[in-house]
Amino acid sequence: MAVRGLSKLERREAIDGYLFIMPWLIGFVLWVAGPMLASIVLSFMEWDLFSPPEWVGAANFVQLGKTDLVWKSLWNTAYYTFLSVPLTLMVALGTAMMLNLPLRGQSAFRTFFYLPAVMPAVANAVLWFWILNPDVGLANALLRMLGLPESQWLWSPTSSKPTFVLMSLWGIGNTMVIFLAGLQGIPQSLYDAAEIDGANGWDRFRAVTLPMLSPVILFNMVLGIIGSFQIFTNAFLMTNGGPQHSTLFTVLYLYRLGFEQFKMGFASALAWLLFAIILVFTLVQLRLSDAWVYYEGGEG
Amino acid sequence: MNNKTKISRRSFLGGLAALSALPVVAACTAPAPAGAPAAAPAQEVTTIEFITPGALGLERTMYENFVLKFMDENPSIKVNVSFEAWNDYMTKLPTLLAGGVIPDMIHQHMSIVQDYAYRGALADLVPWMERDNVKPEDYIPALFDAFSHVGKTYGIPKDSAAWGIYYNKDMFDAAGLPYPAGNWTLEDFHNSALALTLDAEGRPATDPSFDAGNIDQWGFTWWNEVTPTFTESARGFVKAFGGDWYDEAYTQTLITDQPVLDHFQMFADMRCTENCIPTPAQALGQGSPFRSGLTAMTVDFHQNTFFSKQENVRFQYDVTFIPSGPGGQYSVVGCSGWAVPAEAKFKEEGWELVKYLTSKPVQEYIGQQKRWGVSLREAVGTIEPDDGIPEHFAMVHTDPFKGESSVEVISFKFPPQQSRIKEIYAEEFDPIFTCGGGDIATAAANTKEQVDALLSELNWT
Repeated sequence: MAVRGLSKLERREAIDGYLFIMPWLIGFVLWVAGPMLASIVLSFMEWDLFSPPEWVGAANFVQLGKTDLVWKSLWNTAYYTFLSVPLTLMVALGTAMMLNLPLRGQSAFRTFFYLPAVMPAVANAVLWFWILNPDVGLANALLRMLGLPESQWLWSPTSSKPTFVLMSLWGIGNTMVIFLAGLQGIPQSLYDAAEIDGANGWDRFRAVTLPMLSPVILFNMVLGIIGSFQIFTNAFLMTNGGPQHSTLFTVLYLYRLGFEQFKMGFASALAWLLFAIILVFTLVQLRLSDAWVYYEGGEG
Repeated sequence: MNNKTKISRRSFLGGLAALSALPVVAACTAPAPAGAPAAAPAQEVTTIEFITPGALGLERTMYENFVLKFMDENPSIKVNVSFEAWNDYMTKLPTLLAGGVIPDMIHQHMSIVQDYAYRGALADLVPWMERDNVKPEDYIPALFDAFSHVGKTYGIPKDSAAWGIYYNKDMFDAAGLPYPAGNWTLEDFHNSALALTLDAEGRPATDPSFDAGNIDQWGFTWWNEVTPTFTESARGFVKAFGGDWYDEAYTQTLITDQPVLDHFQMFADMRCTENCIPTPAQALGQGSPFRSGLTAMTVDFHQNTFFSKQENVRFQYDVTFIPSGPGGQYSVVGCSGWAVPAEAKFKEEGWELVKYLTSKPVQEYIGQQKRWGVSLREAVGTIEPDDGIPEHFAMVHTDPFKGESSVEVISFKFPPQQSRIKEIYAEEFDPIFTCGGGDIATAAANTKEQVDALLSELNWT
């Protein structure tokens, strides 16, 4: 047993630790790990929820490759992820830096910028419907004011995904708060030293802020990619995958397969394909992070 | 998909449970709790589970009271009700059925009932109906078509929704148009929609100088529908054109037949070239386009009367039938119903609750709220508005069910796999009805090929 060899105090602390995490651990094992294991089994079966399941081997995985909508949903999801994550990171970092300035009423600004992150999804959807309405919405009114061509936003297959990317900026609150915490952890002495060395604002950002913040950037990027690959709620509420399946993201398609078309085995196979993609991207990011993430303690 | 090995439901669920429990065993070294609780002593009261969407407001209160009354009248039955939001219900119901936590009475919308029945999830109610003298002719018979298949009935209709064309009388007056007669034609409808579409300068869509980029008022819109495809309300138009969605045996779709193509073409033209139907983008986000005064006509059912009054619309309105055409004129009715799962533990008690909720007193009470339609013919009059507004409410929403109309009442039996069928239609027809281009005949041919293949695979007949 791992606890053997520990001192009495260490053993006591370990037991206390396990007891504290036990409620979460039990919940995780019962409601996350268990169903995940079950879904592996399901992915090798044909099961419509109501009839006895049939073992079909790898047929569901083979079928994944042959189903156009699988590829379309993966493309939609990848498009969204690779545009929204960098954009969200940049805007969240920029906003966090502004909210880190010593200004009067800064707390109010921080609250204001964080508010959209706590808005209910349905309220968000209604709000965006109004903003994006091509005839009477604010978005096109702004474009008209600037003399730019108007857009159909969510209602055209060419603009629907970019619109989702744009809407993702509305939810930068959490990322921004993590950046803000990271910024506040950078010692002022580093900026002072850089200033004495003649560094201007850009130099200080490039040589102090970015390296010191790089672990936080990595953290937000990993979470951002994982979250973006799982985009569901807005698409479910606002477009239900349309028009022309242009916003049929993978999790929405997976939901449809499982709970509307009752192809639970196929849906499970798709879920594991998505899991594998997310895992690969996460591992690649972690591997590449060696080259650009700086850990103050020297792990990097 | 060769070499399929069938696994019994019991061993499958047991296996899944065991698999799910594996990590628990690995993570928790503490001994398992002492054995399962002793079996409850036999009780005279049977507790049944009833699940339905209707999580909020009057509907929930109403059904809570119905259930209390039912339990008063049936002291040997206790009912546990689970009210769900609509979307949650669509996820929770199959999960419960799959997990073996099977309710004894459930809600089924007409668009999904055949899918559930096809998969063996629903009990055939015919033996009970015969035993207890529950006759389809006492209800709106067309509704039973949607819930029945090859001699079996999988649900008792609980409500009704007769579709008609609501029109804004003020807009007709302003345009100098006569109000639509009951027997108006597809041509009348189309011409009215054109004349009632106005740009910001008040020019109708028929005017050569009409500004399509600056429309203030549209002639017509669908209620909650992006495209006039495969629904029961659209079937009224398709039938009027002389076509139909499926052949009688449901072996093939008929959407490549000329009348159906004409139907698609008319609505595509109205939206994309004549501009008298707003695009989804133009209509969404503004509540009901009709009640907010954006459109002069809409296809809707009696709920439009209820909500028009709730929202205090500031214009005069009325309702008439879906227009007639070379194929005739039809009153299309939709509904939801109550069903008993095939594997329910207390089917008999579930059936008692079905009967109670479709009984005359309950149906009359529901009708008196003026919000929901009813399925029992004797009670259909109760939904008629007390103030007589709109004037032709009864003509459209109740008279056809009382046998007091020459217009034929039809419903629509949605075949299994509606979600997949919807997907196929979206793929093929979205470009057309979002005005992105595309050819209707090709879209229909592609759709037919895929839907027919699906029907053949289902072997549903």
